[in-house]
Amino acid sequence: MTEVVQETVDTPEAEAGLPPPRVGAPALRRRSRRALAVWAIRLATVAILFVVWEILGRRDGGVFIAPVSTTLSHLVDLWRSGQIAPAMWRSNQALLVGFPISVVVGLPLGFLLGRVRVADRAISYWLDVALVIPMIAVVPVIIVALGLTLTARVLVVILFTLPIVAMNARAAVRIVQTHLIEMSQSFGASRRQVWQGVILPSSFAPVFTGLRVGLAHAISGMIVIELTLIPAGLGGLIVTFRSQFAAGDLYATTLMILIEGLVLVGLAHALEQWVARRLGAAE
Amino acid sequence: MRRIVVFWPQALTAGAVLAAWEIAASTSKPYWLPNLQRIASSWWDLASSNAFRATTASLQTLGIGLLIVLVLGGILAGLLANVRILDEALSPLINTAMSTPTVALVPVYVLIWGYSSTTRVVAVVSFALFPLVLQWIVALKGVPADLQEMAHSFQANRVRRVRTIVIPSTAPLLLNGVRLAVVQAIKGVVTAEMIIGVVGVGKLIVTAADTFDMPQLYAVILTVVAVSILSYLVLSTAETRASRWAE
Repeated sequence: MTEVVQETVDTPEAEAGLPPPRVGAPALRRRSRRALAVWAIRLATVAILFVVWEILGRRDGGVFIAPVSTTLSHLVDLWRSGQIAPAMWRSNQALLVGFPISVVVGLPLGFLLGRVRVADRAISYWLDVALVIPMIAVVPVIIVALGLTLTARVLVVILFTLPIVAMNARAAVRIVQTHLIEMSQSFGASRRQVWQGVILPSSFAPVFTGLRVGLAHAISGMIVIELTLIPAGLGGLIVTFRSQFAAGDLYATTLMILIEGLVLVGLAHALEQWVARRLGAAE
Repeated sequence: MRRIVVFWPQALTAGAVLAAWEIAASTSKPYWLPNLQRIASSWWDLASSNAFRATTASLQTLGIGLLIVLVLGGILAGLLANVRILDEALSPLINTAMSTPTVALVPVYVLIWGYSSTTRVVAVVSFALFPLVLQWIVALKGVPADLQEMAHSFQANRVRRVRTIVIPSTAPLLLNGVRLAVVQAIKGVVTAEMIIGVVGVGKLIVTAADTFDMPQLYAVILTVVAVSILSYLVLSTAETRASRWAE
């Protein structure tokens, strides 16, 4: 299975709900120096990437590789000339419709698969298959069947997103410790109370991580259909610029897509942490 | 016999899907949904006319790409797993990079390297490298330190230490990384070839779609699906074997 959540790197203190251990001043200084080094390495890596990109672009003369500077100025031009905004709006319609549908259907489906064994065995392997196969291969069938309509684009976004959302939700409710559930049941908790009081709160973090990964997949799905066969939206711009060998514009549009991905996934991450903190405070 | 009986829920849904497909295809006859028999005969035509020979290009790309991914991934993961500060600094960056839509970069590769095999190999590497690296870091960090120390105090030599401790405790996760990489690599090849549209399995798909030859389109897609599932299953089996052996 691809990318199903595994990130629970909590300290024992955080797990037990205790405040982090107090640190002495020297230890604190050591820690902040370390954090500084970490950030320095990170920034240096990104800087090196950009410098190499710029140098390669200049040496190439901007025919096949547009330098960073050119890319950025083309991005500004594309915004000014009003080419990018409508394309972005057109592309994102599919995301705006498809992602919520995937979440609304995928989460309950995943919860069901995680807790009901027969359903799990009957359905989960289909989702596994959906995660393993190159979904892009199915896009032509969808385009032939539905044309390049909004429905077709929404369907592709759902095909890219729903399986990962559902499988992550499934994994999240499966890892809830059974002894907690059993205990609450022996105290006479109803099925609804078990879900509200035990399963959902403790599976919150991995479910949300699943949504974040799902969002990244959704953006891929949105772009994939536009790059294949019938170009439109941002993908359409890319195909056009590629055929015109307009490297600067092509790089600018690609960068725009990557930036959108980073911003949306970053926002999801921030939201995730905010809600987690609220939940933690409420307890 | 029991082993077969246990699979009834799976068989039920598989049967239901196939039945629904057949019924929909033969009653309302939508032009985009040929029935299974036509797909099968189209597959046979493709196979006997050697059309699948085009896929050797895809498989070659896949092989070269995976080799690069394994070597490069091994180096990167080895570095990050052993130097803690690099891991702390770069693993989040890799995670962030993985959340961007890699697909969008394929047209850039096409612009730089044209329709050559380099474009496709680069696509494979850019799809598969990071998932492999992240999983391999986890694998390499998982060698239990107490076992290492014990082996050391019993004066086990290096070869023996690697054979009895390092390999058993890392093999399942390493194989898991390979599985992720292979799945992603197949996605990379198919994506690149479909965007390029003139080579390998991507050409077969795009040609069938452009000529509205639906049985052929399905035949190619189902072949791709079958190959991906098969390689996934083979690697999963290897993984379970390895973890059973490691215990």
